[in-house]
Amino acid sequence: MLEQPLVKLNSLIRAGKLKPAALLDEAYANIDAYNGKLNAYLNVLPRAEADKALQSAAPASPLYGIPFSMKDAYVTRSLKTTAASAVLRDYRPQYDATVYTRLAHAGAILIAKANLDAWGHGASTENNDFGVTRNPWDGTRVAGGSSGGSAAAIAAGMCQFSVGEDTGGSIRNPAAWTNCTGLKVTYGRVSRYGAIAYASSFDTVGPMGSSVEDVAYLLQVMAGQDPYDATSSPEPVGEYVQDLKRPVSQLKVGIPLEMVGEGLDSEIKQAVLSAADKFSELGVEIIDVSLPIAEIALAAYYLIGPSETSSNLARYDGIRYGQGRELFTTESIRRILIGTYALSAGYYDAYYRNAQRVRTLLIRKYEEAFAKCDILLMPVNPTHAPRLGELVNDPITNMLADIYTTSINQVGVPSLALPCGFSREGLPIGMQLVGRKFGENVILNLGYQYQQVTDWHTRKPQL
Amino acid sequence: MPQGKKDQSPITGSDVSHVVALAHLVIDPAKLPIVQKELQDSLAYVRQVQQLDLSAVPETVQISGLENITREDRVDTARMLSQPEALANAPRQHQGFFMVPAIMEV
Repeated sequence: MLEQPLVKLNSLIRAGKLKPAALLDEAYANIDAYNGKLNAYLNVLPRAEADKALQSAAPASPLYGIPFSMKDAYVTRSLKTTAASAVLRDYRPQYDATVYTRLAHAGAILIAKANLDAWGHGASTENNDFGVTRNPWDGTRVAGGSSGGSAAAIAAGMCQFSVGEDTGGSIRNPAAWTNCTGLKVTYGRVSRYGAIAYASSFDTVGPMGSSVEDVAYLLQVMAGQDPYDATSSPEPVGEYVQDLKRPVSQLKVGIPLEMVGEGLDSEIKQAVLSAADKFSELGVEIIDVSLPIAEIALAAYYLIGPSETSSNLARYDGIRYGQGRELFTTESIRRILIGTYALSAGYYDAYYRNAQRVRTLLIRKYEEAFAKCDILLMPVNPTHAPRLGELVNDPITNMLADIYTTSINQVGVPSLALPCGFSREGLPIGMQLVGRKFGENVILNLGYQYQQVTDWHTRKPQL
Repeated sequence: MPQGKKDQSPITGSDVSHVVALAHLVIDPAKLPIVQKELQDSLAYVRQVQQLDLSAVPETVQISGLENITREDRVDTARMLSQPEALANAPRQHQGFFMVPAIMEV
């Protein structure tokens, strides 16, 4: 039942045809069956406590009884929060993240905290202290990252949806490699209060699930200004669910030629271009645009991101909470050092300030592209899910996995990752629909209509 | 120490030690050569940002579009931690205080 749409589950529950406890039964049964192998979850709420939470939830609430998980980068009082790092291995938060509070208020039941690359530092959920997360589609491969645990859990029926976090691709990458749908929102669309910070000017909080329709429902609950997050936007929350059903024939989709060229796996390219054909069938106009920025964006990201993280991770001093700094992983140490170097006296202009100028160029290039079209279509990952160990042991290859995703965080626009095909070996392929700032309704609309005429997103792995 | 907009100098061992100290990190000395090499490789990649002519381009510091977000200067008890709550995760405490490493010799 957990892969059924939220709309359907909600209507069955209201009609008395489905008891929410049955959804908890299914989630917990799947956790017992699969978490040992997949290691998607770091921490699972005891069933008795989930039952208690269900008893306090309001039956008329929009997500009543729906079991969900959160990337373990969100503080929750009910469950230890670790950021997948030994530095926080025993940390019990004294407050809840706003995104948790909103979802709990909407009746959803938090059942687990999901594995990630520690602090968000990675694209494979291998850079952490509590074991890798395996891809449910092929256990010898990574689930992607850094929200790999969330993605694997959805694919394996260990929850109905999950809350991920995207700083340079961390929702979109694992969604694409596990056949899930995930949304990187406009910067400031969803409150970051209680989200353990990686790069404060890039970090976004976003929903992950089995369909665009579900993601739209979740965004409706999660979005909106929060007085506890000064960077959260006063921009009115859109009618994401209502706008799903709008016709798409007036939309123009641009394909940046540089992003479907050299360096992209040919099967992924084929799947993305086939999706463009599908959009054409729906009446959408497809045009070519130019966005020659992937490499320079990656360089700027790997300066600004590490700089901001070196500052954010300075708070982990083992005084008010947490263990000592000697427990940071190799990859996290790399990022802290690059950032510290880039911000240090004598190097600040050459590195950090130049990267901030590149950021301005990226914003201008995206504005030029959006003058010609409403949505940009891009691949998510340049390759299929690598085997365990391939990415995490090679710092440069690790960086290059993010090549199509990082510019979007720097510019702050939203991007929807959704399934668009499979490789010959049966590995999921995802694409990105990138929109203008606060244009989530437009990309969700096209994604929804695409999922009405395709069924990639309905496929589940053989476990 | 280099100043200005371009830096192509190689990373030395003492650069690494300096940065490690600045970042308050603790690294096994045996690992420092690898750390040096990896830092060098990463910087070689990100130095691309120095290749463009960015002299006329302003920096972007943040993209929220917001400025000077303020609130009323009123206590919000919903967000307050009690003293025991605040101390709940402290590895070392003394009579209701966090214990911090000594920074002065007595």
